[in-house]
Amino acid sequence: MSGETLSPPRRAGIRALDRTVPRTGRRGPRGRTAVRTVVGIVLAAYAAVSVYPFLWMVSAAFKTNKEVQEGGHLLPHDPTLRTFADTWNKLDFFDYFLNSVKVTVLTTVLVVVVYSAASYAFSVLAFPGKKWLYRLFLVLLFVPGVVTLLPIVLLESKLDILGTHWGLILPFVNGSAPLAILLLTNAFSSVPGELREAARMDGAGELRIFSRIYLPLARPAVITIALLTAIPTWNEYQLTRISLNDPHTYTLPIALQAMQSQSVVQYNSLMAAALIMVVPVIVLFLCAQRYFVNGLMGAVKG
Amino acid sequence: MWTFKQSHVAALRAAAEKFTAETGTKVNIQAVTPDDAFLTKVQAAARTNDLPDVLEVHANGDDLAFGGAGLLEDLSKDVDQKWLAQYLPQVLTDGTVTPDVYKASLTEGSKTQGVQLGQRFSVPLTVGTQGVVYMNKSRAAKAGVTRAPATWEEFIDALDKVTKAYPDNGGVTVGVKQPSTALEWLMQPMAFGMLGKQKFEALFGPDTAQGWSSPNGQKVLNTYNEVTPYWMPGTQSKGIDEADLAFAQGKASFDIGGTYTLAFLAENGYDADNLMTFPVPPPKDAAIPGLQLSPFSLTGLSITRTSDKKDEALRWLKFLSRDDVAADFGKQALDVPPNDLDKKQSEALGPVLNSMEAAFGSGKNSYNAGYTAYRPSLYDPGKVGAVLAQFTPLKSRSAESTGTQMSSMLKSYWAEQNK
Amino acid sequence: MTAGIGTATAAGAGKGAGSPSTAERGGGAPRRGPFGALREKRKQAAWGYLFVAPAIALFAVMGVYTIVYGFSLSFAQWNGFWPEWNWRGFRNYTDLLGGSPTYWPIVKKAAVNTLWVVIAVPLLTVLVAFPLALVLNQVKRFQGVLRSVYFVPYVTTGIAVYFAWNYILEPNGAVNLLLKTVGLGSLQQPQGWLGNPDTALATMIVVMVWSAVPVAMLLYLTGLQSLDSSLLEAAQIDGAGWLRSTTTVVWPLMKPITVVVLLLNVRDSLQGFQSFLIMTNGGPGDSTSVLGLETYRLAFLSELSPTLGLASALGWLLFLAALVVAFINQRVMRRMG
Repeated sequence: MSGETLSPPRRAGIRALDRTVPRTGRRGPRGRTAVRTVVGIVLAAYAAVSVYPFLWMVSAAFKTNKEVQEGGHLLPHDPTLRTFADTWNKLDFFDYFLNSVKVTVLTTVLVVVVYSAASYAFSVLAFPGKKWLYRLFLVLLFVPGVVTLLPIVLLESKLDILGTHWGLILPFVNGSAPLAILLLTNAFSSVPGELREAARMDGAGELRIFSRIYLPLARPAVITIALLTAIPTWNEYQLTRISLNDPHTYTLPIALQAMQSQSVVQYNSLMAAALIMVVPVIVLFLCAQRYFVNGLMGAVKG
Repeated sequence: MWTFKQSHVAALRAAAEKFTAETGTKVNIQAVTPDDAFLTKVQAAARTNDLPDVLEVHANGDDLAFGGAGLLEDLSKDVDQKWLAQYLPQVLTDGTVTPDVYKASLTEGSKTQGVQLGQRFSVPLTVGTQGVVYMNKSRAAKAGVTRAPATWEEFIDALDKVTKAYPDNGGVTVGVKQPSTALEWLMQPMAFGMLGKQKFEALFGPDTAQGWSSPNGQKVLNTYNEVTPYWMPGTQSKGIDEADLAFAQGKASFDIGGTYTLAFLAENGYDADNLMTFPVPPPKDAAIPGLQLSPFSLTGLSITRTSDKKDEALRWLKFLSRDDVAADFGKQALDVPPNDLDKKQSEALGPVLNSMEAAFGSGKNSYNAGYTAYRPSLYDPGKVGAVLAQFTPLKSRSAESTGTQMSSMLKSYWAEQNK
Repeated sequence: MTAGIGTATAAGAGKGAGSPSTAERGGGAPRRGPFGALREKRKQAAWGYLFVAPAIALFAVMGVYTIVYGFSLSFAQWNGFWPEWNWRGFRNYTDLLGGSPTYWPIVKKAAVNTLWVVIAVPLLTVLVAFPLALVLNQVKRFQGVLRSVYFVPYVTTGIAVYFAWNYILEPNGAVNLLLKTVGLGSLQQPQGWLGNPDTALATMIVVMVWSAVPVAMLLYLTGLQSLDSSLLEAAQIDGAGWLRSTTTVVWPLMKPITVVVLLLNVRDSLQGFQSFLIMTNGGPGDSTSVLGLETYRLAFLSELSPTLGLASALGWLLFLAALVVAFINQRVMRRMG
């Protein structure tokens, strides 16, 4: 790994640091321990608050429905795997899983490809109208979502993609535009311009500079936007339910919602189903983690 | 066929199988939930010509609105006397354009605009009532309450005795998070009994002199306020199901609901033998002392105009309306069918549904919560209920200010309508 | 691939200082003479359009129609089923902004509540997420575990969130219990924290911040990784002058991230309704009714009254409000920087 370059902000930062922060005069070891302890306690407390509802969800999946509704005890009184087994069967997981994966993967890949390209142009290339186009995409962040479902369906019917997976993917991708562009343009802008100049001297074209320099260097941002696209797409219900009619095309949230709208909801089952659905997301996050760590390691090494 | 009730899917599928065996026609059942997804899906499908042949709809609501917009087939000629004879007399006109409905449809911005007098856009599938009090029988007995309160005063007295005996969990609950529940399930039946039909309806009328700040309105509010000391703590942040659950778990000793509440309680492990149920009672000096609750259609079945299998669809509706099929459906879906079942068939429903059916009243002295033509068309029970919630249980408004606020809301709804 | 970056990196580093401004980059090859520069400029513009083309094309196909449709609807009266829209001109807007005795009071109350949310949620989110990311970026042990743990609210199902928080906030829930145990019993809420109109909105703000922190933290972590480690070392929490180095060095460098976090949360505070719908449904009374929730209600919960146009109009008013807030936000951030 070779992340040893200092980007301009980093350099600026260090210069500022040299001016403002005397390197001497650190706190004594005792004070340091005290601060560490306090910080540790705060971190642990917030971790507990963060994870508590999730743990509740996990424990609920092992309780009886009655116990779920009765109380806040995290440990199930009489843990049972039955709920899980039953729910697994009810969920038809594998029928829907592949559809969910297809929609999520295609959406995420398209978001990364389409908007990192656009962001490269917005942050690096000069062309007339750039500023206005960039602003247009930012403004889209605030477009009200409340009455967009109906026109999307009508439009797709005209385009003849209603009820297909592309009918989900294309609006999902388009909907991710503002955030993706905002984040990636930011990230590309902090890549030092000299890198591009040097590569051009070496005869590299824009495509090569983009894919070989900018994308790898902005990897944490790319991973972040992939996560922030994949997770909501994985869970999307509204448009999915409204536009799909053929059970062969259904995704997992439709099965989950069906369990949620029983007249008497079996909350233990519901939580088990939600848990089954969230496992792939967690796997995805843990995989993405490694790239975060790697990126960081590179910086540390440098 | 599409339904917005997930709980009906299994029962409908079972019926569909029998239907296929009898006629050879297959019925494909799809649930679209929650309601907002259902509505948007119908809106979209109506424009893209993708509507199914049959829709389950909120009776006297969706059916008339969809019908007015031209989405539904007029069934008035197909549903004959013989068909109707199977139903309870109270629900015969549900799903049809009565003179009241027609009149309301003519105002600007009415959701039912476009309907014609005499049309029928749905036949009933499930019925129910609201305004049923569920009382924890054993606790009540321990507190000295051994028979169902027949007047509001007795009801308040029962609340008082039980909360004295059970200070922690003796109170009454209703899902005030949906603020229309306290308004429509508790206060309105009491007010209807207290004032009688005409004066009750005047409370919601355009003339504020007879509205909520009038002596009548204030009398209703002050009487209703007597329940305030007995609310279960936190009832204002409970949803309908949560309130019922709290009762099932013993956190409250009284629960206000509808006929449908019983099935929910039973499903959640509440012993039905430990229940005493009675309609929300009117005060001693009420205009209608022996108030009963009239059943009304909760959901109905409609056929779409674009259907190219209209005959099959009609046969399916007819099939579902048969006493035996309806009883089976009701039993499986835990919903009361609209049929006027004989004794044997009623018993076939099982004890829970059977006792609900027995609670239905009829005639002039009964309160029909499904009849809403006296209210302005933009009337929003959630918003009015929220004001009432500020009165009780929140105690942040006086009876006077509640009355004034409710009156002024009604006035503005009417003004909107008459513009 | 790594080698490619390596060369580029070395060359870039060799060239020394320089800001990444477009102007400088545009003049990347001055030696080719004026015509060469012009051709170069054209070529770059062509590449620019090529790179944004897919995004624009997708927007032209999927976005434009939707937006035009939604915007037109804000001038109409429709319940979603009538064959025709009733055109109302600006009446939907004027009704919402004081013209209608039915809607104006609702909007007014919700606007006040929303104002609190829009101020509090973005600020508190930054206040929690930034230090969290900072500390998380330098803990040596359990870093991966902690990062996952703090991210967990983002992947927790809405209904589980609701239940779990409810058990905390109930009349006999954890918060009241805790207050009682530490001798602050007088602060207990006998009706529950969501049951008291005076505490409900503040409680909802806490819940919203809780759900917003994971993404904000992730974004800050992304940003912190592009910083130099020696810089972060000086900003160690227990090092001398950490506060100063954090506020004068790290914080300014994180400004673009802060802008993103603020924008996202301003949007969610203005338009979001999901958590309000599940947790309080706007109550008790109308103490937690917010504009996002009212928009949703007008669109879907009006029992087929023709209020879709009103919902759309309210949506576009919120759009306008978001733009104004974003603009002010940008001004403030610029001044701070």
